[in-house]
Amino acid sequence: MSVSRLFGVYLGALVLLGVAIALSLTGFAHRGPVIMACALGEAGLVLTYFVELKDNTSLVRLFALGAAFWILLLFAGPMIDQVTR
Amino acid sequence: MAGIKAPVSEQFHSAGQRREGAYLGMWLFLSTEFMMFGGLLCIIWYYRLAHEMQVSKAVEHLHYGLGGFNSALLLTSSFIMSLAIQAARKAKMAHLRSLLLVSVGLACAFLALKGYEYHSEYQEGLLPVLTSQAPLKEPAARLFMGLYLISTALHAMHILVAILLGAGIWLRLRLGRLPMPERLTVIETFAFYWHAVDVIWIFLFPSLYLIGRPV
Amino acid sequence: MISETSHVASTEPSYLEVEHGLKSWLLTTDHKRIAILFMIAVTFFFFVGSLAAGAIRIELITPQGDFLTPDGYNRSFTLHGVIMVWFFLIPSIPSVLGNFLIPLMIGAKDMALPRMNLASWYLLAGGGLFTMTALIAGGVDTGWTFYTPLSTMFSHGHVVAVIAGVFITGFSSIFTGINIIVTVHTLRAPGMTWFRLPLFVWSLYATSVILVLATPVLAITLLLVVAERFFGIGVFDPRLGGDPLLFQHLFWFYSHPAVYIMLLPGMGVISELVTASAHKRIFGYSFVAFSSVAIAILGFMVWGHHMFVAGQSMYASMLFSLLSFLIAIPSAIKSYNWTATYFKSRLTINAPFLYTLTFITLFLLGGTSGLFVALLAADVHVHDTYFVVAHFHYIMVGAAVSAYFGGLHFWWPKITGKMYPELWGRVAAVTMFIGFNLTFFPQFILGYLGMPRRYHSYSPEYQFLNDVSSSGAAVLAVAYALPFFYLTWSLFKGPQAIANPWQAAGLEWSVPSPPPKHNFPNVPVVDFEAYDYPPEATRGRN
Repeated sequence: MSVSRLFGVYLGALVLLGVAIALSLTGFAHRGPVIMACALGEAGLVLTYFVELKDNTSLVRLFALGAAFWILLLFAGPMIDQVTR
Repeated sequence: MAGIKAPVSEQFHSAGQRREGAYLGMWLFLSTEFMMFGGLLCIIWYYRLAHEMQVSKAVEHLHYGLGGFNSALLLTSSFIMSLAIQAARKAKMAHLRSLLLVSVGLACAFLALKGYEYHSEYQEGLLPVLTSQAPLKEPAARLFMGLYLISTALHAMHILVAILLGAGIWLRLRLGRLPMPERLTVIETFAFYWHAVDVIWIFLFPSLYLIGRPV
Repeated sequence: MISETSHVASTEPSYLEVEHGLKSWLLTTDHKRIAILFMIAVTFFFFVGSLAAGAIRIELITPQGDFLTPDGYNRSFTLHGVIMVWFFLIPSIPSVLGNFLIPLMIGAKDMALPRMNLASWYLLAGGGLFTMTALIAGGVDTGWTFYTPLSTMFSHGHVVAVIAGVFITGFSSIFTGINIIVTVHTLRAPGMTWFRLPLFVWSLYATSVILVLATPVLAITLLLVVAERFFGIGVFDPRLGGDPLLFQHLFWFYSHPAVYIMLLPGMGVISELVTASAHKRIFGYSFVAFSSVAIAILGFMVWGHHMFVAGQSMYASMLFSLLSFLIAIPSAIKSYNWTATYFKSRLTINAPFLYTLTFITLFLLGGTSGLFVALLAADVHVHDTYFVVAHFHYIMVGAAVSAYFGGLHFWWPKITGKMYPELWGRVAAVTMFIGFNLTFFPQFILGYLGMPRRYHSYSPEYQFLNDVSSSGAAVLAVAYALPFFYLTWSLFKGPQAIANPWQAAGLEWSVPSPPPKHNFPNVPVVDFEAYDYPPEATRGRN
């Protein structure tokens, strides 16, 4: 991984952070999902390039995906209950 | 564990096997951290859904600028750590040590700012238990401040652990006990942990400070 | 590859003889010694948890609350649940049998992370002692489920201390889980593909996935209870808009998968015991393997069935009910496959076989009763009654504990190098079957008739069945005590065991009994299927 690539990733993450903060100050109707999408983007950049997920074996990537899936499960349950009560 | 004489690496046939074991083990451990903070995030979002208006009132009082700057600090520290890995792979020991130190230093700055932030919130009377939480009229807003305190404090504890581990590794490097690239796995697995703590904050920050901020 | 009994001449000392002294045990990294350390710990905790069960059953002999105070009764069932779940059932098979056998079964010299293994033991022992002290010093009256707001606001017990102990022990679980997963991925011998692994390893792998992903959620849930109770930060406080049901969601997100942590390893043991007693390869290997994985995954999607009457939304409840029915399918597949394996087999009827039969029967009953409670309308009637108590004891005790005892007997020669007295083994197994059913079958009826759980006094019409149950508990106590005595006896007076006393398939039987410290002198090369019993071993097949 070259230094310039890493620096690019870093700048990209900072930009996403800035966009998220800026958006939160506006009255844009769908700012919630966009802000969280920015967060997802930042995390994706860190995990793919800093943690070098893309270079790891597919097993490690499967583990990472698995963790993501399980977190989604954890969110889904109580939310479904909350929303349909 | 000191004092254990039995050889630890005998069960592995090759260094590659051992490295893969270390990566898998670290990812599994990090999954536990993600699941734990995932639980916290779940609670945060649950209450956001249940009491949207009241939570907004609490979010209004949170210092997004300070929090945002802290986020940038943490991202920078993560970036520096990734540079440290590159240095370790090329056995550039002096670079590795200084980059590690900078990374740890940025994390210390994060903690210092967090402390300052807690202090201001204390003075503004926002924190539960320690203050009367007078500026927050709505019960759910007060609850949200409690959640904010617990989440960020737990995260800060993880940063502290990372700082201590980082300082320990720096010391071992300084004493010549971690030759590179033979002991690269130590740096790499430590960096995973560092990045994971960063990723957790990446989700914590907007969930607490940004979403639902009244304009 | 069934090992011949005699050619394995042992020139190396066994793992038990190679070093002596307390330090060599307390600082060991040998997975086999660590397994024994775990065995001692879980036996101790089983004993303590049983004492609490004894207190409960004595109280329930009479309808009035005359043996314990109401608060004392609450503390007893809490002690029973906390100790049995976290300090016996969860660690028993994974940390005792799993630790001992997995490296042997896959052809490795140790687990992948030996120091983490030892750390796991210290966390269990330390956390357990801490929790037990808190429980005995006064304990807690909330039940092992710590529901809010009782645990956070109203309980007068040592909630924070007990929770702290459980929290520490959670790390023991996580470390064991990580170790097993990494070991199975990285240390399989050449030729040991996934589909040549013994099914015990598949089960423990699935269990470890649950251990790693579920336990942290318990950690944060318990932390929040402590935050509310100790620091006053009310996250579940109804006065602040907090939701007690949210606690239940988070608690059961862990605790339902936890019951599969307690069950899956037992199923793994049974797969081994069935093939060994039938001398035949398992019927439908891949189905059993995939069922373990399916149970682990589906087990994370059913937790809401504990909250059907707690205020959960009707739609969420319907979803959880449907998923709970679905999870019966892989369990049933396994049960059918085990039974099919016995068909036209050359059966060996010994103690492990009797425990296996006990498992299959009691699991069948317990699992079927699970369908009742999974059904929304029926659960409204039986929730919080003895029906539920009977259901989970059939699985946790009838099945899981029987599997542990069966596995202990089956691998006892390998672990200790001694044979246990076979007659006493059979006596204990049969006594267990009788005692268990006497204790718990009446509870199905009691629950259906409306007797609530966690009550120290009850309406007089329930007395007869309660007395049957309590007498059964006395028989069960004998059944559990017997192995403790004769297994210990066998250590000193038992006949020497050969490498493969059961003529069973599996790499663990190819090493001496007990094995040398590093298991295999040379790395085995695996070019045979799991359970490759010779066809002539089975009757009626060619």
